[in-house]
Amino acid sequence: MLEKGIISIRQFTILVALYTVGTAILIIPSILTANAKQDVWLSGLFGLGIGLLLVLLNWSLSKRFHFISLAEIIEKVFGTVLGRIISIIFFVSYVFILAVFVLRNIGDFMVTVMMPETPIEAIHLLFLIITLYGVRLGLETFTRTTELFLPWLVILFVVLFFTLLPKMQIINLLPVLENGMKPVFRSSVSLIVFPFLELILFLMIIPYVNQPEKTKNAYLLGTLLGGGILVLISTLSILVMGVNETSRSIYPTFDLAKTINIREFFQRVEAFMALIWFITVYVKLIVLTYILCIGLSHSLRIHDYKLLTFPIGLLMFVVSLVIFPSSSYLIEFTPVYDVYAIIWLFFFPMIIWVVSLIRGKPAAPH
Amino acid sequence: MMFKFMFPMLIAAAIFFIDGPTLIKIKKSNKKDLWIYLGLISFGFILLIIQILGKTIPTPLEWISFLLRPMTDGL
Repeated sequence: MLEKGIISIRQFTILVALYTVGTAILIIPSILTANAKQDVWLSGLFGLGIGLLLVLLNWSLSKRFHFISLAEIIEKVFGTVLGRIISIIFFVSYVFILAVFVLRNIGDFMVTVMMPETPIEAIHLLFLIITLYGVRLGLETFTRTTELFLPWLVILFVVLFFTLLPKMQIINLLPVLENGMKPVFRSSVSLIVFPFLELILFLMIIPYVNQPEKTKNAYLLGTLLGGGILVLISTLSILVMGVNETSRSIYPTFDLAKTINIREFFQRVEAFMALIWFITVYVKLIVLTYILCIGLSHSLRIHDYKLLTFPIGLLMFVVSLVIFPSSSYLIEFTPVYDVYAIIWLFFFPMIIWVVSLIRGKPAAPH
Repeated sequence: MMFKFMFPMLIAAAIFFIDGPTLIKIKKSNKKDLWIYLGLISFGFILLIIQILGKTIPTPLEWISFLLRPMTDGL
């Protein structure tokens, strides 16, 4: 075992929930409204349902292999040599890119709306330093940190919800199903790819939960909470801002927080509300970096995963600066990314399933 | 201009300050780990210096779109 820390089932639930919210909270309302229009809530609930089924599938894969980590599962299924090569390719070409995406997302957000004159390098560096610090301290430590953050998140969410109550207009949700079911399904595909498919990476964390065989409900509950928050925030955006404004905005949640105004006194609290996604993005980035370090050090047979944190952090820093040459490149790349993510996060686990079914049930570890 | 060249050196100093003791410890017992570490970190520094000198590093997304072109053309 590379990690000596053990986390509890409750901490696992919190980690899953905050990871699901992650960067998605910033951009998912505009992605969903692009196709589904005012039926966002319907498409969100549908996507959440499929997401829960996928999580169940992930968990049963983990159970079949007696809760060993994903890197070990790949090695068991494809043999040691081929498995090591495949898992290195998986971690470098998917998890690394995803971690860089998350870092770039928060950098772009800060540069676009909050600190336009600060160089993006400075923001990336600051964010990476606290992330690498957390990764080096280990799973147990950063999980407890997220547990400490949780009350603040809940308070901020409740404040956000109740201060927006007077602004909601039910009429924005009508007419229901104006364009039939097809756009609703199309939108939910985007929601399933990002963030629900990414939850398979938690197969790397399940081995470090104190009772892995009881993680099923925690995994599902975490997804339900995180996904519920995403559906709620998308519906709120539609209720308050309407379809047009939401789908045109780059960061609808931020614009949503800008509209808060209670009696001309409690207003302009968006910077305070931004704490919500600083925390969730931080959790997502730290989980991804941790998984990357631990997965790569398992496949490369490095005895201490902490050794890899700085090389990986340095590479993440450089690649995050060059990954999108322009913001229009990101929009162009989004459909390609969907296919890429489906290949790695859906078809790849399916191949693992099929091969493992052919090879028969794996023996229990001693 | 000066800062541009100071920056990688500062990062290198910070990394060596933190990782140095571990590296000296594994120098004897764990040669393979040391080589992987040095390989990755020098790759990172080479990329960082290229970036600072103002040359464009191709984004890895370009290769992904190239590989997936047959599948994404239909979309």
